[in-house]
Amino acid sequence: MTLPPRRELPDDVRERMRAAVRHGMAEPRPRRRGSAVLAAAAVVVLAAGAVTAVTMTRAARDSSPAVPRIEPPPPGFTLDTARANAQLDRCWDALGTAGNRGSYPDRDRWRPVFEKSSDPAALDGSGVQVVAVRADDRVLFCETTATSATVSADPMADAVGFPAGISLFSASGTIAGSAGPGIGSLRVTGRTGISSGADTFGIDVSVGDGLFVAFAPAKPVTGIEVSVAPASVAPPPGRNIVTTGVSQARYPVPKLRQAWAVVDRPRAPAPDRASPEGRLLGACLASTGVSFDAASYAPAARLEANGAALVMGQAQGRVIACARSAGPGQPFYSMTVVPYPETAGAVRAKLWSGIDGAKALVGSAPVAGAKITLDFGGGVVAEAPIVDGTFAAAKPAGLVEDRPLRCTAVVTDARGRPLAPAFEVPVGG
Amino acid sequence: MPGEELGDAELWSRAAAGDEDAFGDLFERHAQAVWNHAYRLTGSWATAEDLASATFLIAWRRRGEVTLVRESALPWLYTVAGNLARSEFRSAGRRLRLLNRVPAPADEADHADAVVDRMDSEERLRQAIDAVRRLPKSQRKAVELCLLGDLSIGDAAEALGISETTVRVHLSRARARLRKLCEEELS
Repeated sequence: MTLPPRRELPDDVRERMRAAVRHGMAEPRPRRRGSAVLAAAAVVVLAAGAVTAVTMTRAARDSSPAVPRIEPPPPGFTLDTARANAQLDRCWDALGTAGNRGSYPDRDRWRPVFEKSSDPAALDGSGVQVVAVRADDRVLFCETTATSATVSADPMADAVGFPAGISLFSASGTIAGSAGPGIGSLRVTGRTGISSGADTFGIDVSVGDGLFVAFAPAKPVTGIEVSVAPASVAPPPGRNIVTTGVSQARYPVPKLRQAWAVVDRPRAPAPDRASPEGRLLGACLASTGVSFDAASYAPAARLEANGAALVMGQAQGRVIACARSAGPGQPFYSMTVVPYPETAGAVRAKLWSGIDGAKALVGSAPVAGAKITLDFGGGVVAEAPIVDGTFAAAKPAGLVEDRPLRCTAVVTDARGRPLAPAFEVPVGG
Repeated sequence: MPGEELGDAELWSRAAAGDEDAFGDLFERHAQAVWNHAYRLTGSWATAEDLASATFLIAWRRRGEVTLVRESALPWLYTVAGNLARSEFRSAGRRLRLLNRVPAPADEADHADAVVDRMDSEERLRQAIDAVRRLPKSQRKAVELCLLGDLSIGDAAEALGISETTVRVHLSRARARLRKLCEEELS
C-alpha cells in the first residue's frame, strides 16, 4: 500500500484548527451519568478492548467508547448536545424495551443534528421534544414526552420522485422526515378531524441538514400532504431559475410506518381507574385502542347528556374526550383528540358528536382555571367547570353550526376573577 | 521547570486538572501528526482539518476521563480520529462526497507533472482507504494504527487492548485481504 508522505502543517491550517478547538473548549461539557452506571460501563469498554491505551477511569457511554458529537446544528436550529443525548438515551432504551435494537444502528452512531420542541419556550419541560438524528446512512427521529419515548421507523418508500419522505408520524402529532438536497423549507398539511372546514392544519417548516420536524395539533386522521414550493428549491447547477410548479405528495395514514413507542416513565401515581369516570376512561381507551400510552391519561371533566356519559382525559398537556353511548346492549365507546393549543395556556375547543343524539363542546383550558364561558354571540353561551385543564359542556341551544365556527372564551378562577383576557377560539369539529 | 519539556502524560494530567496551556502544548506537539493521520483516514485535506480539530476537542472534553498509560498521547488521539472517521464519515454518500473533494494544499508546486503525480497519489490513497474500510473491524483498526498511523506494534496493541501477537495476525490477514481486494479492483 503506497501512502502519501506526511506533510508540514501549514501555519494557516494550524491556526484554524487551534481556533476551532479553543472555540469548542469554551462550550459547556456534556452531561455525565451516575457513577454506578459509569463503573459498569468501564468494564464493558475494557472488555471490548476498544481503547486501552488509556485507562478508562470513567466512561461516558454505556456500551462503547463512543465519542461525543460536536457538529453545530444547522443555521436557525437549536442543539444542546447534553440535552439531546439524554433524549437519545431514552429512545435507545425504548428500543431495548421493544426488543428492536437490532434493526437500528448502535447508539454510539447516533449523531444529533438538531432538536425541536412543540413548545419552543420549554425545551426542557413539558410538551413533545424531538431530536433529529443521522446514524450512518440512516435518518432517525427520537420523540420524547413526559411519559414516553418514540423512535421513527424507516421512511416510507411511496411518493416516488418526490424530494421528501416521512419517517415519523407519532401519536403526539409529530411529523418528521427528510428532504432532498437544496430544499430549505416545505409545507405539511393535514386534518385532525373529519368535518369539512374544521381541524385542518398547515405548517411551514424549515429543513436543516436535509431533515425537518413539524408538530401537528394532534395526530392527523386523514393523511398528510407535503408540499415543496419552487422558491424553496435551489436551482440545479447551471440554471438560475426553477420552472417547476409546487410539487406535492400525499401520504395516507395507513401507509405511514408506525414508530416504536414505549411508555418509559409511567405516570405516578397511576391515574384513577376505580371511580366511574376512571372506569369509563379506561374502558374507552382500551376499546378504541388509539393511544399507545393509554395508561397515562387521567380522568378530568365529565358530562352526562341524553343518558350517555362523556369524560375528558388528560396526560401532561394532551387532552382527549371519551364517550360511552347509552342504550341497551354492549356499550359503544368513541374518542376524540383535542388539538394542542396554538400557544401554551390558550383554549382549544371542539364541537364533538361523540354523544348519541347530542353534540358537546369539549376542550382544553388553562389548568389554573375553574370555569370557562364560551360566548358564540347572539346570546348563545355555554358554561362548564374546568377540571385539570379540561372542560366539557352540552351544545348550547340556538347554536348554528356555521363554518368556520368561533367563540369568545373567558376563563375565571375559583373566585370568579378572569384569568386572562378573553380568548378568540376557533371551534373545530 | 524552565527549559524542561514536559512529557505527554504530565501535560495530560495537568490538562485534566484544568490547565488549558498544558492542553495547548499537547495540541501544538501533535497537531501535525493527527492532521496527517486524518488525511490518510479520509483522503481529503479539508476533511482532515475538521477531523483533526474534532479529535483534539474530544480529547479536551474527555481529558478527565482518561489517564495516559503510555508516554505518548498519539495512540489515543489516533484511535479517537479513527472512531470519528468511521462514525462521522461512514455513509457511502458522505464518503463519496468527501472523497470527491478536491484537495488543494497551498504549498504545492503547480506545474503539470506535479499535478498529475498528486492526482495519481490521491487516487491511490482513495483506493487504499476504500479497501481498508472493507476490512473486518479488528483488521481495519490494526491497519489504521500501524499502516496508516505508523504506530509501533506495541503501541497499537496497547491502544487496541490486545496482544502484540494478535496485532501481527490482524495485520498479516489484512495485508492478504488488501492484496486480494486490489487484485479484484484491477481485474
